[in-house]
Amino acid sequence: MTTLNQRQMVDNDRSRFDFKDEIVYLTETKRGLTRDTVEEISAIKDEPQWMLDYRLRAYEHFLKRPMPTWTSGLEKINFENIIYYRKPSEREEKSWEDVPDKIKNTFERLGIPEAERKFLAGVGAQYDSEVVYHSVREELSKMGVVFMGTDQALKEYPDIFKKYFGTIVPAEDNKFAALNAAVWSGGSFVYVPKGVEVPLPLQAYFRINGENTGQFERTLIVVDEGAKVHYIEGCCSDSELVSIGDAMVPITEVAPGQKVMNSAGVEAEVSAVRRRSYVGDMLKIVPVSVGNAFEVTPEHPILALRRQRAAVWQRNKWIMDEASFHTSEPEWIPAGELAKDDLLCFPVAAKQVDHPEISDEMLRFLGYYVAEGSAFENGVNGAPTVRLSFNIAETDKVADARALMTALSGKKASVYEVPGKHEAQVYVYSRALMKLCVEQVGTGSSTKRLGSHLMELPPSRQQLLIDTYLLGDGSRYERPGGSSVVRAVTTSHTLAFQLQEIFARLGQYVGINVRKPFDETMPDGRLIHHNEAYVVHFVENPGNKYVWFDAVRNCFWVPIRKIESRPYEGLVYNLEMSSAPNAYLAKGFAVHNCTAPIYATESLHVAVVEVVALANSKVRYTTIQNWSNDVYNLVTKRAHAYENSTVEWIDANTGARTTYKYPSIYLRGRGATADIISVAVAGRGQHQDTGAKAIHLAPDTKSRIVSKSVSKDGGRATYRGHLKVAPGATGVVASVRCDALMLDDESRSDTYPYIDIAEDDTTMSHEATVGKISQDQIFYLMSRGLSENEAQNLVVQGFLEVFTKELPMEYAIEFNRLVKMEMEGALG
Amino acid sequence: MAGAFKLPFAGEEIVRALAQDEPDWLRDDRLTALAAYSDLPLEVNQLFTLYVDLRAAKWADIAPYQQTGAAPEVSTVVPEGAAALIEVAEDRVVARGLSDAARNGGVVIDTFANVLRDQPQLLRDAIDGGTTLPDNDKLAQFARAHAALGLFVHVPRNVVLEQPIVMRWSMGEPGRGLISRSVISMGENAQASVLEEQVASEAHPTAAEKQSLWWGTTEVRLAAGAHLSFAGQQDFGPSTLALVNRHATLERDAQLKWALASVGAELHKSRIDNRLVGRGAGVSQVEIGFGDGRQLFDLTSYTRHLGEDTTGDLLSKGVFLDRARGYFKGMITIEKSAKGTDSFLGEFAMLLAKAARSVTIPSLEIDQPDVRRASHSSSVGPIDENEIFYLMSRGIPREVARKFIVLGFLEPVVARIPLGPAQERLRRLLDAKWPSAEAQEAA
Repeated sequence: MTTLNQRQMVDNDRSRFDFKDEIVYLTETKRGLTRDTVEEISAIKDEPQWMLDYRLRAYEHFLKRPMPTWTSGLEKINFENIIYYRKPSEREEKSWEDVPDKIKNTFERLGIPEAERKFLAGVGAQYDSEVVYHSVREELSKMGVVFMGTDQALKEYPDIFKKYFGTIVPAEDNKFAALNAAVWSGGSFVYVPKGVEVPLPLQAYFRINGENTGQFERTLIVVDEGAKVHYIEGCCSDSELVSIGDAMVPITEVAPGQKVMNSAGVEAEVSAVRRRSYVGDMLKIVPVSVGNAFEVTPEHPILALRRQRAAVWQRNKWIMDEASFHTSEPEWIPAGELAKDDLLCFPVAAKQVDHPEISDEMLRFLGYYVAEGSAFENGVNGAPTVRLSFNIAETDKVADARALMTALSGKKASVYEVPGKHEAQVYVYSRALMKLCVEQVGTGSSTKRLGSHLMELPPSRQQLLIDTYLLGDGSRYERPGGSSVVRAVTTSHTLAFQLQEIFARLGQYVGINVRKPFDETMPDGRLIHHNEAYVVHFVENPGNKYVWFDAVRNCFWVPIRKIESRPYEGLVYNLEMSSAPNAYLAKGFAVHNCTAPIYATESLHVAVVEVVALANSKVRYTTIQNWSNDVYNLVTKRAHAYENSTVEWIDANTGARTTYKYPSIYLRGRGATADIISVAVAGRGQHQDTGAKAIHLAPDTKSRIVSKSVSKDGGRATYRGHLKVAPGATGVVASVRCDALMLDDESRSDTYPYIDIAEDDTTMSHEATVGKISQDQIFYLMSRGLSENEAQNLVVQGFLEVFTKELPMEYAIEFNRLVKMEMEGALG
Repeated sequence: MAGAFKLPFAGEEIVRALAQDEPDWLRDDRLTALAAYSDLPLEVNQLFTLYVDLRAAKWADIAPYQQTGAAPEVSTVVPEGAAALIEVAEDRVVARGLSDAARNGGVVIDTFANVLRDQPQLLRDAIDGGTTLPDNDKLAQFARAHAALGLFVHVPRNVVLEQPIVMRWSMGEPGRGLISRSVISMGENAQASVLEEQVASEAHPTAAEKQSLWWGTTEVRLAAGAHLSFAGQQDFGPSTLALVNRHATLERDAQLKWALASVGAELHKSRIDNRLVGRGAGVSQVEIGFGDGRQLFDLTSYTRHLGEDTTGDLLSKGVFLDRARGYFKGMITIEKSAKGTDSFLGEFAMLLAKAARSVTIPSLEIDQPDVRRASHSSSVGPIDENEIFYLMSRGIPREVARKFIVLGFLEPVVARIPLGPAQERLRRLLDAKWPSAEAQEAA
């Protein structure tokens, strides 16, 4: 769990979810959709004639039906490039052990059997087109509860299947329902007999593995009179946390249009993010600064100087020949052809902007603060406090810091000595100074980072901050021969790489080593735990240089210490830049846009879910959708609620490129209740077009719709709803509430409700608001020691709580984690 | 979509005939509008469901007036308490007059034809280029192309009119229609109020076999600091179709108040566009529809915030009896440039009969999160039984209590009508709607 909360700083690495399996499919249809494709799918499944007829009718309708006029972006879907049916295994298994290993491994990595053991009544799993596994607890199956793949149900329960299939969502309902009806495969079938209450949730997992694959599952849930069930579906995904060097951006979250630093140390725009599956060796290039190690495929070009060209072989090692390295041209060399001691290019960031509002005194103070400081609201009286801690013997620093704090805050800073800890604390009560610390550096030793303004100041001004920082966190020891090593230790991962970038601009290449966590027993017997830390270090006046500054190219040349290789199987990423050079930074080093074959991919998820809730029954259907950002997610979900039944859609969308989904409930029986909670998080490049429909067709029915959306980083969240009270539906009570949160100026939020009331005794209320997070809230939380990102995350989680609190606990935790992942780096 | 909706009385030949005596720029403006009319869909929509419903209109029965002008005798009497009056009966201007204060201030109130003769540049500056009407609205572009009559009101800069300008229309000749434009242009820091009355022609107060048509615009331009209060009452006869586009552009610190009441007509379709361009501009809008029989009120309101610190306070209310229907579509758009916007849209309907129907569509499109408020709310419901109970406990009979509550619901608009007699007249109109409700209850 914890690994997912931390940013992985490894290029082309894979994380827990993002991997692609090399499956040899037993059967797959040809790319594209024709009448033959439909007939072939039906034949493979050995279906009755009526189903084939139904599919063909739907296919004809799909061709005739125009795209809905109110959508946008769907015209980019190339229906001819999709593989409509892919079969990964022979049949649906009842025992987990019998599922083919490759597929089993996939789901095990997603934690599915684990979940089943713990708290589920039944589990189903679908891989591309086919359901590979279904199981239901024995006691439930004895009571007549059916939970199986939809294809299997067509064979085993033909009567009940035919009675309901396609009656809730007819093939002609909309273009995508027609597409699903034509090529559907897989999905879950649930039947709960009269009066049976399923005490635990039934769960289904869906995964799209193949590129350009469509998943068209079809789920049918029939809940008989007085019965009760909770069905949960997880659409699991590829969310990966890799990064591209010192910009600290997870590569999977990089989107076209975003700016990252290119190999010349200049910000440049990304024109495309490419991804491909890869099986083969993965190389780990470890430079002398081992903290900057990164992984690439062997064909990935990297800017380097051959050691033979720049150095001479003397006494068993390569010695840099400065004369020749200035004259030799660096080359883009495939990683697989690099060798130990070849030199990698570490560009110096070129952007410089002065911010006069940040004074020299502030910089000197912030240097101390980065090393030693804390900013918080005093626990006794809530006073805003800034405190720096020094060794009690460091009287010069104490005096300096005290003078700076007094000058900056306009209030007298005090010193408080704690002889037992050999500590002298300099503190001042000042909201303005606290705000400066929180905004420019943050709080918490492992989450401190330098704000973007600090990062782009001219080097002469950055030097001020570095000087006091080293006074605080730095140490120096003399080495024989007149050189000395300067080291500084920080537990902030981000800060370590930022320091490296600043030092480079100051003309000093610093190495980063990683110190493993360890426990230390102090002389007085106390046990102190040290977290993982990053040691930033450099040598002053070295006898032998080990890195070389290249003023012509404004970069450092850093030798490779070693190259490791390991077998790899999974997805790898690559960026294409919109301007030359088509190259970017991996852990600070220049790598070229990869020349290996690449293709843009997209996948289509077009599902239909039909729910029949007979009299007095209760159904809850929960979805956590987290498809990867190349999936078009176009889903028709509809339920018919009969007399006194209750249907609840609990629907969350955090993934997919484009989602069009509006869970609907037709209230057909007197006294039926509809409850729809829809939440959406739209990040970079995403459009979450979600909403809800409640159609009241019978008297005394109730509906409640709650929609919450968050848009950020240029994402777009749209609520589209339909509330209808038909003639004859007397005594209806209905409410619609839509709240939208926008986290930045680039994002967009729309609300389009449609409320049609045809009965005079309806009570309907609707409210919608759009706004941003209150800065007061953020500031308050930050003053309590949270980083800006954590504070924002907490506010967003609170905003979405109406959804989270409806989930079983395990899912609530999982969902909050997904939101947190979405929120990572929201502030750049 | 385009071309699905066609009017029998539209087309280039008709437009060229209408433009016969007009300057080239106005003819070209009409032709531009005609092209837009031909290309645009009837509905620019972000919804699953189409909602514009013009099925009640029997276009083929209607022959719009092609020639308009002054009546043989034009009254110049200005009603007491008014600053100016212009009155149009069917296709003729029958009255036009200015008070001394208005005349001395340089106020203009006249037909396009006369303004083109006397001060052509003034009109051209106001309307050339079509920015005073929404470019995505098929029906507005139709009126821009086919208007047979234009009225122009101009209040010069710094002129403050204490008394209202009255614009009065009567329409009802079966099988005939008037397509017109009204332009109100206010100079910097000018202040005025306008009362627009739309009534049935005296000769045709009741239902007729053939429909009549009143199709017009209100095109408002408010220069920096200008204030306009516009009150409208629509009380056409039961066989009239009323279509109107109202469009306002507000520069820095301009303030606009709309108070619009619609009681008459078989079909009333209105769209209001407020464009808040200048910093600090503000619009407040109250609109009511009170329908009975088979009346349909389609009241659409689009407010676009472009300038910083602009405010919008928009309220639509409807009361529907019998088989009457109300469609309330509202949209607030906040552009990226509109930081500090405060905008609220409310749509509230009261259904008083089983077969009455209301559709509310309050939408938001937000590109700038740095707003003071961006929200809408709507509700539909019957009369609150608690309120009836309260009034009955004070000795008021049930039916009277219901009527009080309904009139109270609509009173915020009535209170904004600037002329005392006009306000009283609207109260009587609303009051007069009531008996048919009792008939419905009895039925």
